[in-house]
Amino acid sequence: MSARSTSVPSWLLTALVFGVAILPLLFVIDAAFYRETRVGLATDRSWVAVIDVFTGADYLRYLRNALGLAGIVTAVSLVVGVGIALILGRSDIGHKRVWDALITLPLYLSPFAGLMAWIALASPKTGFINTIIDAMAAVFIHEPGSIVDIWTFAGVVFVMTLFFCPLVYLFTVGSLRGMNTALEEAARIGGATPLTTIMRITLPMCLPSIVASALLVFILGAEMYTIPGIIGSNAGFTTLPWRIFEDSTSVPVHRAHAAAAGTLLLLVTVLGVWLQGRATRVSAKFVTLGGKGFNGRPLRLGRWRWAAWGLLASYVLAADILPFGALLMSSLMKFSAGTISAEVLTFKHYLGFFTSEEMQIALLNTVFLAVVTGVICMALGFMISHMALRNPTRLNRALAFLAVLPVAVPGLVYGLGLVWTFLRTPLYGTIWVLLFAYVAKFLPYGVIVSRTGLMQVHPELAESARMCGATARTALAKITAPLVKSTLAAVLFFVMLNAIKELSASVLLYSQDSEVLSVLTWHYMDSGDYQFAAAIGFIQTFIMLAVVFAAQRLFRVRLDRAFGHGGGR
Amino acid sequence: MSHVRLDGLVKAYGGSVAVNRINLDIEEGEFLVLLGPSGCGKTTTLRCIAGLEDITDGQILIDGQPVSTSTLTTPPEQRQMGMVFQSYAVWPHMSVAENLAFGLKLQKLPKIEIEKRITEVLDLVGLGSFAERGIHELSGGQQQRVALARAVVLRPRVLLFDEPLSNLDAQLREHMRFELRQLQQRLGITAIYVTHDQQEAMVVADRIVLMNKGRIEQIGTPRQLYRQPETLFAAGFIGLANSLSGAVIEASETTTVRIGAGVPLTSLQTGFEIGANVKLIVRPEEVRVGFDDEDGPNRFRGTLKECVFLGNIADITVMVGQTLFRAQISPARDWTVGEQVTLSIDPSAVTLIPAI
Repeated sequence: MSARSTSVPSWLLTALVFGVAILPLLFVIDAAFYRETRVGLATDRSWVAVIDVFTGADYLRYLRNALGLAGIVTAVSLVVGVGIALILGRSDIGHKRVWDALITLPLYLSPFAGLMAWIALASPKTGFINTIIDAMAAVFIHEPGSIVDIWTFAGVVFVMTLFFCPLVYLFTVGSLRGMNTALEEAARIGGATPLTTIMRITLPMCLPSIVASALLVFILGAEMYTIPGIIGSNAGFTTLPWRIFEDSTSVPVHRAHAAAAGTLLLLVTVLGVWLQGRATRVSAKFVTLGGKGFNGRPLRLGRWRWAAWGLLASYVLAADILPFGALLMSSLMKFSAGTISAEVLTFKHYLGFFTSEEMQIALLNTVFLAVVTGVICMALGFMISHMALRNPTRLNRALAFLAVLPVAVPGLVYGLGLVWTFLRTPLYGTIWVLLFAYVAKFLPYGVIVSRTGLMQVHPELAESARMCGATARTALAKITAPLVKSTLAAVLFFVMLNAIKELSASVLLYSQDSEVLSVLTWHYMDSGDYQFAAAIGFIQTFIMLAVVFAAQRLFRVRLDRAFGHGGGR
Repeated sequence: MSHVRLDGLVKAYGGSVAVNRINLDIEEGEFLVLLGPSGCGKTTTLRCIAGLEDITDGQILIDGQPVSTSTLTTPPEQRQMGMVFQSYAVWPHMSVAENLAFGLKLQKLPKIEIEKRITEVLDLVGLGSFAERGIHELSGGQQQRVALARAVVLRPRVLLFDEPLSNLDAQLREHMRFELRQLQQRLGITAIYVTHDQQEAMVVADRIVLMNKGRIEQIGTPRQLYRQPETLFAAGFIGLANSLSGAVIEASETTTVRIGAGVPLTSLQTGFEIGANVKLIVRPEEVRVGFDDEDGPNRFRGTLKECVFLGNIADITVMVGQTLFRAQISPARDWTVGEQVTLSIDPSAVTLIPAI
């Protein structure tokens, strides 16, 4: 009869979330303490792998490489991201909405597809940029050489920065827009120049948001193995995540080492996410919630207009236009060639794609996983947030905490855990294991974003429905849910996009019947068939653009809200 | 029309007790106000009556039937109560008519009946032509009327109000008080009303329950609470008060108390022993200020220290010996600070409270 007897679903959900989100991690940690064989783990315990990883010079060097890479990517992303945010948040530059849409677009697309595009653009000799410059330079000098080379450390930094600096932009511009205009006007009245005001008032006020975004970029950079792996294995440097991937996939496998190194990486990301959470909470205090938005007089750019315009345009060119064009061109070519002529052009990759049964299964799997993951994360996230907010028992709050925890877990580590959890079950190698991984990885978004949405719905709205004779369930279905439907839609589309581009866990978990598009691009890149990989990547990108378009234009969903200020990943 | 009874009601959150053993009988058709400062437990009490909170101990009975005990809570939807919330809580995704129809549809009433009742109630609250409007097109006051109409249209046994007027501007608030009272009288419905605004309480209430720190401080009609405050808190919360203290120096048909050097104040109240410490309450409007030199009980010479002109009244402060008296004089005349004045207080206007 009362609210007191409703804890059965809480227990069930908690058990479910624990099994999906936490158990695989315990398997990873456990696996580190076994002796390893050429194909897996022996039955007896051993400290060898743990000692090797945590005290040996090799693994600590790989960790240093990963952190160094992440540090540089973070620094560059900060400069570019904050710069763009200041231009779009404070200056009088025109077409702000268009710029904003173009700057944030890469957030919703696949970094790996971006890598493929930039390989096509900036490989030595065959890259489009190099051949075009060569062609022009050949007129003057007769020694064609490669101007740009993506297969370097700098190349990795470049591609990763392209995809991470929109995060810095989004956090910073959110803070700029929420700021009370009077703070800056007071500085101006006090005699500060516009530049001084920005340096002494505006940026310090944004600092918590900037720090939160920097930590987020750092964590994402440190745990990424796909881009540093593909390039690093050619350019001769190894990061910790890539080594974990190698340890767990190339024969002879070093499973205990992979597990121990995975645990090390997990420690790093958990620490980072904890710090990031603190920074985010601080930044929330700085923002005047429900603020009316920035309505002060915009800063006149004057003769700096062209510099500002140049920064925005170069970013959009490098992150949106060139990759899209390169992916399309590359997918239409027979082999890697810098020049484009009729004899190298072909439509065979697309024909191949649409006639191959394997590709059709992968396409179906991708769509199926995206939709089902999206719906599950939306529904579960909403339920869990609703329980934790409206009936904040200890159990319900613990449930919400557990559901958000995977935000700190790299997809790679999570994938390892799931592989080992399901290895001896019939589920292994099926699409359901992927679904498991996706739900655990993206459920935190569902919980965090719907919490933000629910906090904007006054509890009295549902209570007044109860007073009008509605049961708790009816009030939820008829009042609360409809009032947060735009938030729920944002979760749905956001998770769908992330599921389509998910690569790091999928690569470890797929099998012949459970291939998805992102894994196929990886697979064909790895085997050197760049053109076919580009065709798949183009189709994948096309689907994602369609989803972004549908979300923003047809359903009027504010996708960037999904990153929010509580924004996990 | 229903009778509501609270029997030793306790509501605790973890270790902190929000409502501490409250006993209360609300008569059929009565308009009862729970009044008190924020955090006094008035809203929690109301939410317990509504069934929105489980109670920790005691019980709540409606027409003799227990609806809340420490082990059972009849859910709000089964209590047939109407409630008007502080935030209005009108549903923004529905029109005015849809807001009103929500509960009626859940009762599975025929469509014609639903329409008839909606029209009736909207006319009652003065929103006759607003049925098809969206909530966003309405002003705060109109939204509040929709909330009221939505509560009334279900013909509840009891109407609950949780600070319903606190989000309205001052003028509208004053107007709505009278309207709420009239509506309740016309419908003859039992009403329980939570507010922190003592004036609002005095306008609408048959009886006021003054609460403080989870307990009942005093129950009475508005007149009783103002004229005969039983505690210092009651005296201070309702209306303005000169709050003084002293020792009883004479006790016969009247009681005289010495406050400060040479200022004896006499009250008609009796039952105090000589030497007992007491608190004295004098309302500022009961303090008269003049320029005559007559002597008598409760007449003192003093110096005008401060004068604030408020239009209809003058709010002045007079120093008698070492004691400051605040007086409100109507109509306001021009006073000069530093003037010698005579201050007099009718013994019937001095309320004595035993000092603890």
